[in-house]
Amino acid sequence: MHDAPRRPPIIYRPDLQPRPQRLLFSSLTALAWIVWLYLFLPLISVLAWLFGVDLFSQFILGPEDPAHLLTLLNYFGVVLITAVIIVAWSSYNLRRFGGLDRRKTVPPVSDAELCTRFNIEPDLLESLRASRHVVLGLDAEGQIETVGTADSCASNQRLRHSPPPYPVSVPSEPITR
Amino acid sequence: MSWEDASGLITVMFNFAFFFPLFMAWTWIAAGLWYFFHWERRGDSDPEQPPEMAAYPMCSILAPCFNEGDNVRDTVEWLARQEYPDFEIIAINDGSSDDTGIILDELAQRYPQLRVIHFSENQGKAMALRMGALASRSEYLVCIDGDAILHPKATHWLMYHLTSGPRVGAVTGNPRIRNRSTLLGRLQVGEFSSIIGLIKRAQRIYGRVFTVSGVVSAFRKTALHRNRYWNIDMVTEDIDLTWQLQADHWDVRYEPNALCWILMPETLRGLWKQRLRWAQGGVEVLHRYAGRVLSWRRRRMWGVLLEYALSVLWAYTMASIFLLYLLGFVVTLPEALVVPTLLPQWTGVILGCTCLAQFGVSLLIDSRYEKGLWRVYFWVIWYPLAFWLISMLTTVVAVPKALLKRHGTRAVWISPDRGVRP
Repeated sequence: MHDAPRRPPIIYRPDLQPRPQRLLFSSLTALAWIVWLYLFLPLISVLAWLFGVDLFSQFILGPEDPAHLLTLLNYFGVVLITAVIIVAWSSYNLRRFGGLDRRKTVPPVSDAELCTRFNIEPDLLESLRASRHVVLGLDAEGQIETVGTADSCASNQRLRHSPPPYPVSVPSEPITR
Repeated sequence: MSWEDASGLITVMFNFAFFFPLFMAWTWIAAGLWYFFHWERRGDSDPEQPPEMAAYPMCSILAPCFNEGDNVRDTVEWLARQEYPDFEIIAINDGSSDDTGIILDELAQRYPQLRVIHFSENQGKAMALRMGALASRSEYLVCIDGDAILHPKATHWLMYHLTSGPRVGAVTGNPRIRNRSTLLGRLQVGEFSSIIGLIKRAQRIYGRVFTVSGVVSAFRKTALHRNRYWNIDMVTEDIDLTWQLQADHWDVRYEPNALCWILMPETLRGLWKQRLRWAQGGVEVLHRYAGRVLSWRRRRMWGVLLEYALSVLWAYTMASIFLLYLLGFVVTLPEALVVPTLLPQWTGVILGCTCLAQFGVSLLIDSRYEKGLWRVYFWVIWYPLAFWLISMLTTVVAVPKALLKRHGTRAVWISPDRGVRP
């Protein structure tokens, strides 16, 4: 048996709810429970009938057709077949592909590629990575426009790369092989 | 009268409306169980004990923050305590109007691994992540929200996957809800366990995942660069990126042991806005990528594509049934369109039991990550039914919203409330 994992405190303060909200949620819970229990009426009715309260079931709940029990069996069959298909499919995949990686490793994205995509100079990439505190100004397209520290915000220099800005919504088709 | 008394078109609609959620729920249950027993429970590992790695390459943790003054201190303190040999933290302050920036600068003095990027104006989460990726020193990026708390071993778990194969492009962790003061908080605890967690496990079994959780995910920078990084015009950049990467044949994994504690909205308005955004994001992605992933070479995407397309169709079918039912009270409809009753008979029992099974399975699976969850489940045992109702409403509203959106509209931050706070 494993120990329960560490966790932050759970926030459980029902007393902080406004009164009307508490009332609303309590009523909703009660209503939902009634609806849920109502679903079981046929079951209750059959049980009642089995125990000889047939007058009750006839006049209050209406007679139950035993054919319904057949329907129940059909549902059960479908569920069983679904479960078998799922397990078979999972096992097939495990046998066919498990432990075997036929895919080629994609080389990690290079700095040059990052600079092209984000339309920035390599120097800026370097300084972004080195900085522990930076203030970025972005334009409407999401292009980095200004870079500064908190106190140099006023004297930001423009950093845009010379070629036309790479659209933020990049190519309409992603590159696939 | 019962459902069986309906005829014609309505019968077809009824059958689809009823069988689709039921079939999906049992598919998630079966696949979730298989995933749990076959993958999750194997070996000695658990959230506190990740497997050894052959090498421990450097990792950059990106945390975009927008008006996170109340949360960012906790977030960064937990990040600084990550038990991984070599990492840096890059916090991106996205033009916050509160004291986020000041707090981050202060924290940077205390934690040498922390670097801070300030935006002079608000640019949106996608842009914050892009700039974080550009400034990062590592090929491997772990991205978490500025109000989330990462388990100290989560970076190790995420890195374990990223370094385990040449084509692993992304890994997503296991978000756990921290705020449980209201019914809505507890609902989401149940939902993340019994629905979202099961769906992710199931999707890993039958092919591809629909989305990484934007709140805790890790990426290989090269995979992002071969695509478009985080798109700035999609309302949910995480769903979009997941589809981009998988369409480019990258593997996207789910690691339930990588825990991340998150804050969720606890007002009806906040929850509705968030869910509507998720639904709209899904439809936008379907609209943008459906054609592309239909090719034979991307056939592994077909499962998740079909699942989502059918769920949109289902939402409209269900909404039509409700509408026809109500209309039946006002006007006389042709016989083929008459909805005799919305109240199911035996089918109802099955729905009720399915809720129980879903929670039972998730209780079994989640006891590895958290004890005593049954106390939360008790109040929300009916939630799987409500989940379908909410997803019907959000999808019906989201489809026109997504399709009518002006192309290229820049997505900005939408920060819903983060629940009741002391």
